[in-house]
Amino acid sequence: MNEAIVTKGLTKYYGKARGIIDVDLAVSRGEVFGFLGPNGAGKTTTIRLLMDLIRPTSGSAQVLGIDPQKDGARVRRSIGYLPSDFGTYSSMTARKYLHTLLDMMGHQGDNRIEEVAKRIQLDLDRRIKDFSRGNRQKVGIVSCFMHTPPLIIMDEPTSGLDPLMQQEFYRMVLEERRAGRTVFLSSHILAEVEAICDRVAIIKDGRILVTEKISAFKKKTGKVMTVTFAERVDLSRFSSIPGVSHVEEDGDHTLKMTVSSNINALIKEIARYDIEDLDYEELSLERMFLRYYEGDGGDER
Amino acid sequence: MKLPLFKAALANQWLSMTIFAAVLVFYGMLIMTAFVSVQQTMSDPMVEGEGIKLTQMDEDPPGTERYNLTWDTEAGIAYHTAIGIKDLSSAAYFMDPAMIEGILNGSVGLDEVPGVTVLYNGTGTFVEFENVNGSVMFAVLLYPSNGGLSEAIMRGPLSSSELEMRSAFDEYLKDNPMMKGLFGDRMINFAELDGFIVIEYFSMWPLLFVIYLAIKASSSISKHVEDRSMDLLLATGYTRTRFLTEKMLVVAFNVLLLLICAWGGLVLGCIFIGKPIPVLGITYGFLGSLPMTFAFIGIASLASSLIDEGGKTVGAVLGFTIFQYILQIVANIASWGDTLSYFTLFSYYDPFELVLDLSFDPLNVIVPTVLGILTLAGSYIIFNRRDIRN
Repeated sequence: MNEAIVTKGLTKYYGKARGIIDVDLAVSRGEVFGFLGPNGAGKTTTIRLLMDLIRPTSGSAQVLGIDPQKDGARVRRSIGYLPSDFGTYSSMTARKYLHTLLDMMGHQGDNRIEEVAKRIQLDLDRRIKDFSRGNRQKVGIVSCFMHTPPLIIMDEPTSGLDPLMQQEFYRMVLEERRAGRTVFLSSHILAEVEAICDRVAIIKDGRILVTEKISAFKKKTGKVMTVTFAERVDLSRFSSIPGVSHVEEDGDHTLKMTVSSNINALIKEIARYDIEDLDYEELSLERMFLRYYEGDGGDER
Repeated sequence: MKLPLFKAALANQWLSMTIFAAVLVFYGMLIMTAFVSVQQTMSDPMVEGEGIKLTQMDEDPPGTERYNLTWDTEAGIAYHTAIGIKDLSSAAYFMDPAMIEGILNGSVGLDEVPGVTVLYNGTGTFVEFENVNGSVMFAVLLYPSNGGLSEAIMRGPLSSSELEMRSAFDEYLKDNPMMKGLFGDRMINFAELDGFIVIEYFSMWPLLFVIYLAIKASSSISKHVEDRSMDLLLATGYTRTRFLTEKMLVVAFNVLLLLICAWGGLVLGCIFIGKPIPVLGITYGFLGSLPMTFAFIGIASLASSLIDEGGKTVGAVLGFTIFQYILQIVANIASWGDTLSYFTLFSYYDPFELVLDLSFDPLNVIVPTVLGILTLAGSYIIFNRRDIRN
């Protein structure tokens, strides 16, 4: 089986309240997969189902070829997991706590506690209750990486980390990928997903809206062209061009539009006017994400 | 088998555990030192009832057996005769019908009856005497002014074998409804060491023991759900069954530690005041509380598997435990309360039977043990099936 994670029609209701509905995912081994969505979209529910911390209403999941419902303990033992918010035995030092987790895993032999802690500047000899939110998060991050699992699942991993540590964390994730290990992370920080993920799934109101490679996603959703004309132009002449969408005025003589195809036709139309400035850039993931959330999807017209 | 969660959980609560264990040691010792004060209020050995009271006096001269017998009189009584009876069966043996008739019509004196000693004849209401004839039963006859023995009123009899020392607290214990609530109708001699231990120690022991352990058991799951520490602990690959088992082992360790400390406290207390240690009695007293405690632990664990918030679970379990205790008190006090005892687990712990009689009712073991097994099994099933929500 080449997939590290597969879900089919995974659905979870908390009583009558919606958790997730018909979530289909396939995360390949060795990739970094981003799971995007705002709070309450269903990211944490999906992850907790994969971890067998909660049970699905319907549908199925396989993690590293194991059904979490049938052998949740084996699934959890095989992966590194960072919850979005977690508690610890806070009177322990970080070192003692992490070694306790290793003992509970039955892990013998080498571990990466010292190495990872050094990279993210975690003082292992301080008691956890004396830590700030960010340092507690670092304890969770070390617990994910310390036993070199083939799959790491993280729920909003950089929450509480300062920008420098976030960069170090990204480097660690990319190293995992290079080592052939799989990372599945949920986030609502788009730049983070854009920086480290190979593929991304967007979840909205419990349903997966789209799953794409970041590169294909960008290609599919197009680029943004900003043109400043010498005079006011008719907006409708541009919005009627196939492959051009989201045409909007950005000042008196400036138009901003998303271009997913048919750039020749657009250039010809622009060439009919005097141009003062032109900018052509990729649509940021943030804008793509917002478009999905505004309900008009990524298939640009 | 390695038990890393057990070790971690113990390490996390060592302070509260140590403090409570130390409190139990000191509690036992302090209670025992109070026994000295109780003894200072003790009476001479005495027995009373049926309107008379027999008190054993100091040996003066040494080696003599001296008593004081007092009695209540009433209007219309001309005089009183106090008698000692050596052996009732021998007296009956030697009394033929003619002698009985003679006694009744006054032609035969009481002192002529074999085994009977007349200790006093007169209008007074007490007599001090040396028991030279070795009487074991004592009674007083109250003669009306116009009647013979057939009209006499008898006070007693009392047996010298029932003599016991009494303390000033006995009247308090007899009359206090709270004490009746705790002990039922059992009459305990507060002035004797084992009676004192039962009343002063084992009346509170089940509540102390159960409350502490119920709090521990009730936080076994819900605390970890509430503070979100469950996620990382289960992420290690622990099954929920193993998780709960190791948490229950922590509770079991607490049980063992508290029992040892409480037992040690009482033993040290006895040594401290220089009294013989009723080892078997207190061992029975402690061990006998295990089935009931097991049932409470099971219930607390079940609550912990059902309720997500640790504080609410502890509150619910504490409320339930105290309600059960109050139910036990009401069941003992109220005339209509017998039925209530079926609904309180505390009724399945009888320290009097355990400490004083060194015996136990099998039902007191079977019922709470079965309840404990069922509730504990329920907590495993529920915990294994439930969602652990974030």
